[in-house]
Amino acid sequence: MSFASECRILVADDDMELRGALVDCLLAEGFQVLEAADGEQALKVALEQQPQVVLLDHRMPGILGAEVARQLKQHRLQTRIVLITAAREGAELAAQAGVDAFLRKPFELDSCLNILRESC
Amino acid sequence: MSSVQEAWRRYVSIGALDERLLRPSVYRAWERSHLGGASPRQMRAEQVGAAELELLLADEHHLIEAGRPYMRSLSRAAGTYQHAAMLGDARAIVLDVVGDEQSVNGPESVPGPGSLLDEAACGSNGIGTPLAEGGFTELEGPEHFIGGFHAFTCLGVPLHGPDGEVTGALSVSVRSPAASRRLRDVMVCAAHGIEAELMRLRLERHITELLEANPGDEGGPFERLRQDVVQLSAAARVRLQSAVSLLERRPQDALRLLSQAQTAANAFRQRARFFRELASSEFGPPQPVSLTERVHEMMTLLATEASTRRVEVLTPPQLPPCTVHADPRRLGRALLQLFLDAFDVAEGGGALDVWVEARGGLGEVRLLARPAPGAVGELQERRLAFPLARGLQ
Repeated sequence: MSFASECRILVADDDMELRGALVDCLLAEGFQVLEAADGEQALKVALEQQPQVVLLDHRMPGILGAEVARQLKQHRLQTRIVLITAAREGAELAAQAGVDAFLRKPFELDSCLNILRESC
Repeated sequence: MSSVQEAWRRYVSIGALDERLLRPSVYRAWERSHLGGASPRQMRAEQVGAAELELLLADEHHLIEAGRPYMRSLSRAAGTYQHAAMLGDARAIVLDVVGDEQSVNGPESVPGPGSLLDEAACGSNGIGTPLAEGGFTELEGPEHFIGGFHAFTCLGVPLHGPDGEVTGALSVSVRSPAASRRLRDVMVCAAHGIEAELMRLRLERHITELLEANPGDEGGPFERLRQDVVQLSAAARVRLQSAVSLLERRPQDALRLLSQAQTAANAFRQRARFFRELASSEFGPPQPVSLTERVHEMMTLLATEASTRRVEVLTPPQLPPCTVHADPRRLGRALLQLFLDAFDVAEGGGALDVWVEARGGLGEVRLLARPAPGAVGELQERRLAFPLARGLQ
């Protein structure tokens, strides 16, 4: 059994195209994948399912990704949070939100998979 | 002996080019190679000097930057076969090479950065021929004009810049015809990806300039829309890279992902073009413009903005066709402002009804912004009108 099959990832992005691309890819790599289409849903699913990693888009309806990250951190889950954004100030946002990693769009799939490998 | 080998043998021995023994595109390439003075026995080693190469690489750094992730994908798709992915400029000068150690640095390595690969110097090849033909080219073994390249199968495709101009070529050379077949789809998809990436890089530069000229707008609508447009290029890249990793294990899934990557890259290019028009400060003369199409494009571009601001955008099942006489950029800007103003009214759970209609010689967009239930504010109607295009009134 690969490390991936043991690992549950939440992909939170309101954009169906990118979320679909990531979900397809992670399923193909053997990960268990959960999905959320907005900030509230991301928060709910993350708290209920406690995945090992949350891939969290920043610009989402409702609660922004950085705020979701801040709220999740307050719950002291064992979940690693990766903030994904195309914002110029992405690194600052990530630092302020206290996330574990940050990916700037468009990112290399390998960078994302490396983070997941380290986290699972 | 194959007909192509026979054609090459005849050309080398008596200098005759036999059209019947070659595919038309290969025949044309050999003819150009012959007329250009290429020798079938050896490539003319033409290399730009070190100083010129340094300048060239600096000038073309956007193309190299855009190409790198896709060349790595192409190289990965070639698997364990000896191969090299190459990027050339519009004159067929090699800018970058990615491949296995043997092919890049070995004694029989492929031509490196600075090598001129036009057909006059190197005969038919994966960089010079697609540039000369203006399209995808595949050269299998002896279809190469120069004997030294007969061990390779080369695939190449021209690359286009954001304005449609030819800006370079992407190619892959592999020592296995069987491997080349599975590389074909990856290659075409990678070329679309690079073209989308070139557009993204220009978009980023353009928006940076715009924001520098208007300090204080950093969090404004243009910056937010830029992020939404970039989203699509990210999706295209993830799908391509995912497809490459699946090529070996699940080829059918890989092909599906490649096709989706191509769709995403094309959608990105379309949206980026429209966005660039909106962000441009250069205006042009009025011309016939489909108001209906512009409204559709605007709604697509603003889809994320609408959802993050919790505004439901409603349209009739089909908006009627309406062509107006206007400068497309001014029209786009005015339309963007109209929608953003309406979003301000409906933000936080309200809705926006959109109509397009032709009335009294004018083509009109009408937005009815309804505030969220319980919110302070009134229903507001906003209109934008342009003269109908002549002959369509």
